[in-house]
Amino acid sequence: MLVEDVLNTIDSDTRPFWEATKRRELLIQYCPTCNTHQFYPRIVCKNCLSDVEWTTSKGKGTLYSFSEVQKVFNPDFKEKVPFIVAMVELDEGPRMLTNLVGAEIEDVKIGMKVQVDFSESFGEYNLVQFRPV
Amino acid sequence: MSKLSRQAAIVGVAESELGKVGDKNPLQLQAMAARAALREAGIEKQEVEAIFSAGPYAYLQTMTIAEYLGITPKYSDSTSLGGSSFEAHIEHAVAGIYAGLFDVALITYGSNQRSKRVRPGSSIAVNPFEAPYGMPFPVGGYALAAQRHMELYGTKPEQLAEVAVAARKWANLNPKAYAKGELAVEDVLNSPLISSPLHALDCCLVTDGGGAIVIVSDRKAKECRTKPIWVLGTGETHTHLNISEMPDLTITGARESGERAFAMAGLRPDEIDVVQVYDSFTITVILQLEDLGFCEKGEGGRFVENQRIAPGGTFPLNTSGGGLSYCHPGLFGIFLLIEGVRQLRGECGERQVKNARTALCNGMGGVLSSSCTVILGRD
Repeated sequence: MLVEDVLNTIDSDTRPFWEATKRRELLIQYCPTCNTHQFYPRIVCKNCLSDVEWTTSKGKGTLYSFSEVQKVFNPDFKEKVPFIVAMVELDEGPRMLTNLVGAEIEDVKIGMKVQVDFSESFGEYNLVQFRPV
Repeated sequence: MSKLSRQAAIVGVAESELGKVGDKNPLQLQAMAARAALREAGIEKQEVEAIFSAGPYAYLQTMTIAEYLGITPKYSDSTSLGGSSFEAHIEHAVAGIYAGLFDVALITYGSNQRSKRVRPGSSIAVNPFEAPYGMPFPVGGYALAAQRHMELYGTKPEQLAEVAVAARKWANLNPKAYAKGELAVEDVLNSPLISSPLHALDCCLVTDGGGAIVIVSDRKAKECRTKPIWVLGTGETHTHLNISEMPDLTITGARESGERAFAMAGLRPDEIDVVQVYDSFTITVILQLEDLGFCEKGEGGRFVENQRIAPGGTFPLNTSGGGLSYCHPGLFGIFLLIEGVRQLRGECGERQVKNARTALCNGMGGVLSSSCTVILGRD
């Protein structure tokens, strides 16, 4: 149900992002006018409203914050508990919400270096998660 | 902005039945609260010219409640900023009154979320860039903020727990409060972790309830039965909708909304006698105390230590028991204002703050997304 609900939102703003996950690429957007990156995808630059272009993120970033989830209300995640929700700041600048995988909670520290991980599938796509470098 | 100060007064406040209301619906709760607030002020329903409402109880909120109450307004505002909507409604009502558009406005809210077992946020559209990651909504967003605040400033779980303990002590003095009884810091720390570092008892209640506020022009206030409680200052903003877009996880919009409200009121934080801030989660309180200027950024955890904010402490905060222990029917902002007004009128019995002349109410909605500040004062 979750996968279906999420994939039902795919539209012309977000389709290139999802397609790229099949190639294990994290697509973000770049504004050549004001030289900034943004995520999530929008039809214009949120800084200057210029047209934006897609670019492949290097997939590297820093852990900005995290939480170990012990209790969920959504039945889709009951089996996964406990798991780590993370906010990652990409080296290009934008932040994204994600999961931190392949890490023991004791070793997780704000400021640690992380890199993108596509090992979990999401319908016909792959989920953008991160793991410690 | 200072010309807007003291142009409007709150002359009626009321809650509906709170807690678990059984088969009562949100419109009934709002109607009961509205009737009580209007009667208290001595204002007839036919005199209401402006209607304000927000919340997931209806798609078109003001049209729904106005029709139910038989009101044909000349001014209608369903500004929807989550928990802080009603503080925003106060600012908009002040502007409308100052502009001469109306003299009498009614603000209402109601929810039966507890009895109906509705999950908070369940009416919010699926966000494809958050939903796949399983963050429990909204607690997970607040947990991310708390974790970063701890990392940057050394804030401790014990300090967060102090906020919940103080709220419970106030609730024990409030006959209308839902959660009562002894609560110690260890009880909070021993309650189940939901989303680290937040425990079950770091989270607000889930209750039913409704509230209403009548706000009028200075001219109309002279005809009312109650002592006028003047709107001295207001400010509003929102910085994001989704937690992943928050500009800085430890700085809320209260910095901006508070600064504007203080400037309009011509007051400083140390001139406020009683403070009501949104306590959706314990961390929410810490962040607002800092951002509103009651302490320095990063000092919020130490500020609330030793039960400074509890009854008998030097900084009376959330004297109703707050969303943590009094009630939290989905959106709490209207109840911050109701308690602020009652404190200034001196109606609070055992929990009354002596000689309170000024009150600050700060609503916060979404996931630390919107912040609206109202500063109130009496004659």
